[in-house]
Amino acid sequence: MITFLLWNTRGKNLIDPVRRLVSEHQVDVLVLVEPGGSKGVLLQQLNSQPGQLYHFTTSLCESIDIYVRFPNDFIEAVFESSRLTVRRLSLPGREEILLVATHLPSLLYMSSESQPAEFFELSRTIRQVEEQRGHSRTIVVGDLNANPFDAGLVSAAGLNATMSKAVASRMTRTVQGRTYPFFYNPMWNLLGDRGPGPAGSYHYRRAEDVCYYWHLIDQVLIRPVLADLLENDGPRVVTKAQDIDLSRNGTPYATRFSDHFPLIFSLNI
Amino acid sequence: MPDKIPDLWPADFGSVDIATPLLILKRQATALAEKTKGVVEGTVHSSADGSAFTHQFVLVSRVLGYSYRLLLVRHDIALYPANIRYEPTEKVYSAGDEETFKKTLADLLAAEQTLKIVRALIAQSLEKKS
Repeated sequence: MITFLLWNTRGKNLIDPVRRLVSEHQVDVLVLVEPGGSKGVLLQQLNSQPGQLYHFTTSLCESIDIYVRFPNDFIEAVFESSRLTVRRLSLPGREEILLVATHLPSLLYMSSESQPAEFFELSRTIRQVEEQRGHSRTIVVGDLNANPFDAGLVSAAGLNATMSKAVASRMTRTVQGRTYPFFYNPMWNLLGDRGPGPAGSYHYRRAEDVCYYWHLIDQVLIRPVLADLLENDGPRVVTKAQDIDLSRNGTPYATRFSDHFPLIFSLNI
Repeated sequence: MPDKIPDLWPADFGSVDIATPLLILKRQATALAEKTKGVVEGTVHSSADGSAFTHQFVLVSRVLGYSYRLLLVRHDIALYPANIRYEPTEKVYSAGDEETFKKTLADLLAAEQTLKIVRALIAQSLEKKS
């Protein structure tokens, strides 16, 4: 089983809570979006317990840092840009998977009309890499700066990410004669109050007509071939790092930590 | 028809309890990562070229995206003697057996030039901000 932790730390030096989260959940792959603080000091802290040896993985992607609890030989970048890194994970005795980590532009700096184009490009890149690697055992993690129901995620030419594992198991859908592969998006299960944690991973309110308050912009999407391997029905939003409360009044404690909550999930491979 | 051709090999090949230069170098690579808590790693790149085997021992800071080749070890199929080229001074040392190889390696890893490079890599890695 491989456990992943995703957290947008908003450029803050959150070494202590990150170390605690990694230790508490026995994280194998740590994905930090908008990382802050010293990478070397974080590495030292992650390796402060005897018998642990995390490795930093060198990358051209400026907005994402990935640390792994296995030798660097088992993770290799196959495509990178300033906001995207695609790694192939080939652990001994297991089938290769593709880990796509991304930080898409915020709607604070991009219009909602332009945003879907980012998803179209992301989707195209993923499909190209999958074709090169000859498989679609792919996981997407990151701060997508969009909710699961937004057009870029749902549209066929975007990530084609459905809320239903049964629908995703059809593998593809065809629109206007073009065929697009599905992603399963387990994040839908975490929207609102029915999930085990808070109603989203990011809280934002503005004095305007449409206001969701909670957003689930930190996401994990998975191709249907891997969907059944998600442990515990998929990702969950974490609000504590051991005894450190990352929330205040139920929302992310932005002034002290990050305005995003971390996500954790495990894959039974 | 000739008589049955006998097995001309000896009954066994003797002890194979030999630490190869590659194994010894790999152990140092792991030990360095453990000692620096992952900030500086050693990696060993090996190749075979004709009759010679070559191992490059490289210091790596992945945080900095920087590599430095510290040692170049060459030997033939007999493993020893092995020649060790120490890159900071470009001097070459010859180790006739496993024990001499380990002793020479220990001296070179503890040399002031090596420590200076490792210290510099650690210091810069700790400084490096995301």
